[in-house]
Amino acid sequence: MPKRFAPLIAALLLCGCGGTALSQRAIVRAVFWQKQGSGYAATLLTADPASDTADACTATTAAAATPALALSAAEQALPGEVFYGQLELAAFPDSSTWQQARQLGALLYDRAAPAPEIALFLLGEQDSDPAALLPAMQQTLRQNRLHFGLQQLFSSDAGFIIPVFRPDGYAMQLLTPDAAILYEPPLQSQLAAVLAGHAGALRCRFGSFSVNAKTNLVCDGETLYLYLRDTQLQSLAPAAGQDAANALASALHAAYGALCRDAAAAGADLYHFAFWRQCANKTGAADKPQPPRLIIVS
Amino acid sequence: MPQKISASLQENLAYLQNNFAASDDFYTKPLQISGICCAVAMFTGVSSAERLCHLALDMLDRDPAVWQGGAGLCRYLLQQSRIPTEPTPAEDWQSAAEFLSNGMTLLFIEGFAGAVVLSTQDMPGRSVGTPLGEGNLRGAQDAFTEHLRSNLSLLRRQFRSGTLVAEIATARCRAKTEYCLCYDRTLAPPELVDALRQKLAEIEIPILLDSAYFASFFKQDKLNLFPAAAYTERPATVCARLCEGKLAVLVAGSPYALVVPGFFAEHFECLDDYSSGAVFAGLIRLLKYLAFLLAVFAPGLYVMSVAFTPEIIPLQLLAKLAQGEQATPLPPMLEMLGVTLLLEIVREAGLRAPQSISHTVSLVGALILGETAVSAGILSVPILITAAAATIATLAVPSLYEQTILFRFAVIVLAGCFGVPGFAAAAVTVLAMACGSEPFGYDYLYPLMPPGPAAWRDGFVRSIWSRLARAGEVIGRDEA
Amino acid sequence: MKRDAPDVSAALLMGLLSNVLLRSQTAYEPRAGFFAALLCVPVLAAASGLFARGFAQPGVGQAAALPLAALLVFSCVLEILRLAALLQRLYPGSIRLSAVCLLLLLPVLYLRRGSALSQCAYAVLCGSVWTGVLLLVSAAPFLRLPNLSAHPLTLPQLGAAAADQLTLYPEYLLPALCAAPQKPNPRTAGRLAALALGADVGAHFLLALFYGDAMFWQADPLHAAARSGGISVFHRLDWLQLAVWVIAVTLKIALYLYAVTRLAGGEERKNATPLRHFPLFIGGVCFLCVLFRKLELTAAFRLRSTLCWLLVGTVIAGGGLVSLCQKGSPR
Repeated sequence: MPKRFAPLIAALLLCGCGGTALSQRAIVRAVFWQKQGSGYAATLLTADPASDTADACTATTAAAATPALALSAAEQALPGEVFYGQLELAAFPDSSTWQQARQLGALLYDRAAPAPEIALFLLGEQDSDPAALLPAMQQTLRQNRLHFGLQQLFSSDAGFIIPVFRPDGYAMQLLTPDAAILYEPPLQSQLAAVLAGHAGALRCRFGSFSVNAKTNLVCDGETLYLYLRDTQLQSLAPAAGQDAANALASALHAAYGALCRDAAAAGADLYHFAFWRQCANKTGAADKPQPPRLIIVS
Repeated sequence: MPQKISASLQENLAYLQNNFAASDDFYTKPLQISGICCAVAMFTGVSSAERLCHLALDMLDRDPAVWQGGAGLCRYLLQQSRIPTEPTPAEDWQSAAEFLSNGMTLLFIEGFAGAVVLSTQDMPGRSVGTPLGEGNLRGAQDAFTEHLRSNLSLLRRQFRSGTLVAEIATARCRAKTEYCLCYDRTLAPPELVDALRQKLAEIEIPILLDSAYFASFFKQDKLNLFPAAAYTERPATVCARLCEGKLAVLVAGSPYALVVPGFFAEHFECLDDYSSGAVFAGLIRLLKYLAFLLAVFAPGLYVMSVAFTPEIIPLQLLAKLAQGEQATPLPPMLEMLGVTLLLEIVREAGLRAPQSISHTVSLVGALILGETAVSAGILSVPILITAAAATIATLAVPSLYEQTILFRFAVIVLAGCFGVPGFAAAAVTVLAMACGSEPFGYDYLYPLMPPGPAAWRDGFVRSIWSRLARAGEVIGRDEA
Repeated sequence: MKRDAPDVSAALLMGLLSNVLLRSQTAYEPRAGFFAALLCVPVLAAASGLFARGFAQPGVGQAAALPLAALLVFSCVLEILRLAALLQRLYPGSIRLSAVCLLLLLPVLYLRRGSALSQCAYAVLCGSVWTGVLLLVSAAPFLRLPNLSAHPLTLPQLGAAAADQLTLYPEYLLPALCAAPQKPNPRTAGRLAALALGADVGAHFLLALFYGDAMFWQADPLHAAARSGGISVFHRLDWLQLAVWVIAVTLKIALYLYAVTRLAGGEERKNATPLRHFPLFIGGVCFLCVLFRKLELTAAFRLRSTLCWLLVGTVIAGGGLVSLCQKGSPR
């Protein structure tokens, strides 16, 4: 190597030996915001290196007037350098409006630069240990094949339908610039998630039955086909007296009707029916088209 | 201008006495052949007096011919006799000295200004054995030795067509070591032969003990770490390369042949590839490429991921790595460099130590590094595992050992200092070196780059023999 | 393979693709981009081809050599600054501009020959394709067809797409230097433009599938998308994409240096940059990077495109004049 390049090599090495040791990083796995009176509380769940299990977390919470301040305060309370590269999940207060949810999402992008597909929930007040929430949320995501990614907050200006964490499953919250509707009944909320493309399974109780099925949707503009695969229907009450399949179909049609009415009232095509209609080249009249007819295929 | 041999026997004997008598292995004896005064001279260590007696002098004694003086005897020996002699006599003392060193006997004849060179070589040498540095399950198990002419005979035995050319020349070094340029005159590109012949003739070197001494003179770019030539101990491999139109250089005293031009892909090929099935051979070859990448980049990748990009690491591993890192005093980059250096020291010690204790050295070194250092908290287990895996992967491609070690150090330093850009800079430097190497104008990365049918015919993997046999590749002809 | 006439088309293509990969923001609606590309590809190909013809005319090439060389050096500086800015955004505080300069410039030592550049470009192109496929496979579960816009296209959208696609990169001008001057190959320029714009439009489609309406305000969209998804237990494969992008920028700088060397002329410099020129090159580019480190990059890239168009126009006009004079002059 010619000697004239030696100073360049030395300069290269002197330019900096960077990097931070693993043990000096606080690896954040989840960020939760909750409303606390008129302010916010931010909880950061960090990986616990001292624990033997990989899923163990420690929770650090701080409260402040705004979400940004709460997050800063929580970061400062952490030992070591905050590292968001392993961030998997975030949760916003369940009372958030469409605007507030997007603001929190933008804050997360600015501060944490997360992967756009990290899972998002709305979260009410919880009595349980925050550190136990993360595995519970991950299990909900896995069992229900549910996923609402951070980028879904911004992929459409019309609004979105976002999961709300529940200990025994999840509900769905419809948020548009003008409306906020909570779908609490499990079948209705799960059907909303399936229609919006956030879930791939129905796994809940309805009436005196329970259902566990994988779902697929196909829409040709006029008709929406809901395919149910590996369906397990169970009657929970011995004297139910009704065919489970018919009961499921009725419940689904009723829920579908309610969801479409709410979406129409909110003025948002949250289930992309207009998109599929355009793809099928069926633009219809200038008025808002009717939602497609639902056909359930088992 | 070398000094000419005199026609006077006495003057020649005096010259021999002045120049060689100090060596105790030098033997000279005056004698008469049919009344003509002569003298023989030889080095006893490399020439056989018994052979001289039986082959030459006894035959001369039996011949009833009567010669007319020394010139007539010389003419008879060179043109009519069955006695094994060199076709031309030595006419100067420089060539005479070379013949004596090569184990020939010189016959000085009164009245003849020269010396007849009798082939009475009897050099001690290692017998043909198995290769020490190239392991193969199948194929020929013989290897070159230090004797040039024996090596040539091994080659000639495998390459039985009459097109093999072996040009022996003397290197421009103090010891006048011989080397031999071998090629197939119908396959080797003439311009390559001329270029290499000229290059070898121009090289002036203090001493030539191994064929590898020539290698650095072949490099177009001295900054490039990749070799311009390949080495092999096996005559079968040389034979295969000659069939591809390549050239081989054998050096007296070296059991390794130099194959020119050497390509990158050849380091991942071996004789077993062509003896095994195509699928298995292809898989093993791909494994070797993977091993090379692992050996060069794995330690640097580890250092980069723990220091700059922990998001790469699965969460299950992250806690263990953090615990390991907390328990040791050194930063990951220095620890990895230290472990790699120590492994190299252990390897070198095992190689250079006397055979009786080399096994002990390796065992003690491994125990100290592996067990004690980890227990004492000086080294962490993940780093030790990564460094050890990289070292083992290096041995899957032993011909690129030097380059792999150097690249590994560079990747560790750059990735440890600068993270992803440093890792990328190291990777592009390695790639650029490989792309920039042009042994005698040929692509070093042929047939791997640019990717084409040749890369899959006999590059990354190999085709079945029926397809390979249809299109035997020859450099200079098959490359577009 | 004897390397008497290296083909740098792979390096040119890689240079153009790196502009797609390192885009800090998406620029147009994908459908608009598709339709605009049908017009822009012939325009770019024509500009490149006519520039090559004009450059080959006696006197024109010599006159344009210095401005083109200056443009290429300026481009080197911009590429380094853009990559440094990206690295600062992704890994704040971990690497300085001086380190980025040296990490990008030192490997160019080994790419000073045209043949080395050509070979390396093929390898990097293959690597980019593989990492692109990996990105696609890992992010595929998050691509959603309804994210595509169903609204009718408007003229402003088409105009914005055309304006972005008509950005003239120096790579379109370099076939004039690298091909045989008497036989500029028009298909090279057409192929380059088609592949580059095709990749750009394809990237926009994929980003639209991923982000939907959020596509336009997402910073470093391709890198952010690479963060999503994973293979088995390995998530966050963005580091692999970034490594390939850094290599692509190094290749680009080597290509520009090779072009500057050919512009400088001389038989010894025909296919390789002499080693003794490297300290000047490395020192000069580092100095310029430090000098222009506060430059607003978006405006600087627009300025570069404008300068490229001006140069193209001048060379085409000059070449046309020379050609007319030659035809008009008596034999």
